[in-house]
Amino acid sequence: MKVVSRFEANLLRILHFFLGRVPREQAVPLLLNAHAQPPCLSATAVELVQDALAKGLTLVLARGGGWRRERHLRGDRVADGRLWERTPPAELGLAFSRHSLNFLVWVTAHKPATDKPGWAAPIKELSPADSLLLYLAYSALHGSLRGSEAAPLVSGPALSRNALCRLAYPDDFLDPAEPLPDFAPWTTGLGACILEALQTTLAQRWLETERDKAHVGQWQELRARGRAQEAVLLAFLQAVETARRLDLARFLLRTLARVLTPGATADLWGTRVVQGGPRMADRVETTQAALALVRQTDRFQRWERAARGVGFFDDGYEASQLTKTDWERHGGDDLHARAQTILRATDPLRVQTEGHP
Amino acid sequence: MSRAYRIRVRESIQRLVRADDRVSTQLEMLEILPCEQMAALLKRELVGRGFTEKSGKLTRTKDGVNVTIETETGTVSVAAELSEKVELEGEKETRAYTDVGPSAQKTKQALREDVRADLERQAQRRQQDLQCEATDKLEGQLSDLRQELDQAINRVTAEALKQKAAQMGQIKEMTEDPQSGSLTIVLEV
Repeated sequence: MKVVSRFEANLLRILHFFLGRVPREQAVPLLLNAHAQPPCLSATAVELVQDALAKGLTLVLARGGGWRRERHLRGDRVADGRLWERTPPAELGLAFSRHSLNFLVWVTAHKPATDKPGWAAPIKELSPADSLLLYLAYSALHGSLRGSEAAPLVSGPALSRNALCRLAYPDDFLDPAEPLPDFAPWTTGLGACILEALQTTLAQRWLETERDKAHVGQWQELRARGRAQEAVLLAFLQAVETARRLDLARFLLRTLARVLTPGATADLWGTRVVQGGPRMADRVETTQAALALVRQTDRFQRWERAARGVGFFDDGYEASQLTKTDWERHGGDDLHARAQTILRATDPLRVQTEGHP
Repeated sequence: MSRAYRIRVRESIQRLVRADDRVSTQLEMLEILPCEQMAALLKRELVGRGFTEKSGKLTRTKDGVNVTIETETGTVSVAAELSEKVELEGEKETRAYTDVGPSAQKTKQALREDVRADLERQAQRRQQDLQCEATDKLEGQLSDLRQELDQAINRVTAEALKQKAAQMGQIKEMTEDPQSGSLTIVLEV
């Protein structure tokens, strides 16, 4: 039997909570209290952490969406199958830096209320696996600790500049001065594979985010949320466009297909609250912000139109076929038409061209 | 012991309060002719409707609402700006044990600040009222403007169609119904 100290046991329990193996009730009391930090961890504890990270994160990715048979790009070709069939398992290895262990020690040792700045680490030194662990920690803590005295646990530059956290929880980061993360590392190599595995989770998160807007009571909050979303969307979509990995934005098309139902109106995005805005300029701006995702249908349509123009003998033919397939599978033309109807209806000055000679 | 002295202060402030509101949108025009020609047609139509060219943009001010149209990009901006010079006066009084010395000065100063704060609040309320007026003014004109721009776009589209038809062949017959906005062109190619 392996023996670890009380601190190490707490650390392992918290780690397993992040990996979804321990219920929240067991982990939250440990997170809310400070524990005396030992000078170092025992070899046994480090070994157990390594084992939990290696197996736990792999399992999270596999269960989260890696098991699904999907089609994604590998270079200019389309690869079909489960994540480990699309990419050789050797290339899917998760390498953790010392920052992962530092984070776990910090989160176990500190009482959040007395450590306001949150955990910090040099962003450039974080590997994709480190970022994934931070994202899982953020996700686990998101519902239970947000807004409470433990908020510093889910703040700090390492989390606010984590691309996965920003992509999954865009409206948690409302400060416009907060710099956006660099999405480029998530469009190639291991980062892109992780993003492929998280497609279902991200689609679900964005669906919740879009539906939540209907419950926002203040127009200022709705505008702030929309702006935060738009900033993330623009940065992410630009990154996938630059890397020619349009398939990585599939989760947004899935979300649009769920929210842009026939007969959908702007009220579903909470735009009723904009009537409380004092100026028309504020109302229009708030409405546009609330419809940040809906307005992206133009960009998706542009991608599809460009894909149509790629011939059989042209470079990127398979990639363009995948873009067209995604568009058709999610009813892209209908989505675009519904989005345009909503946008026209919310534009106080939109001049209609229907009925022209 | 009763307070025998009455201290009264009077203050006035002058403020220039401003309020503005604006909306903008894109005109949707069919690309029947090249962009530059469509822009030229639109420009001609808008000039006929009272717009004047200022630094490359067409503008018109009517009832305090300024409409600016960039014909090249089709961007329409509508803005209402109001300003008003506000002069406010206020007076307050209180009772004190004395009307001279540091204590009386202090009382007067406190009273003066109180009156000023009151006047500032009134000025702020006036600014809010003016903001509502600007927004109402803008909203009031939008409906008419939308209709007018719709008509302008229809006429530009019709003109563009005629020119396009003339480029394609000889126009044999052309019937236009202003009521329904329909235009029928018979061509010989």
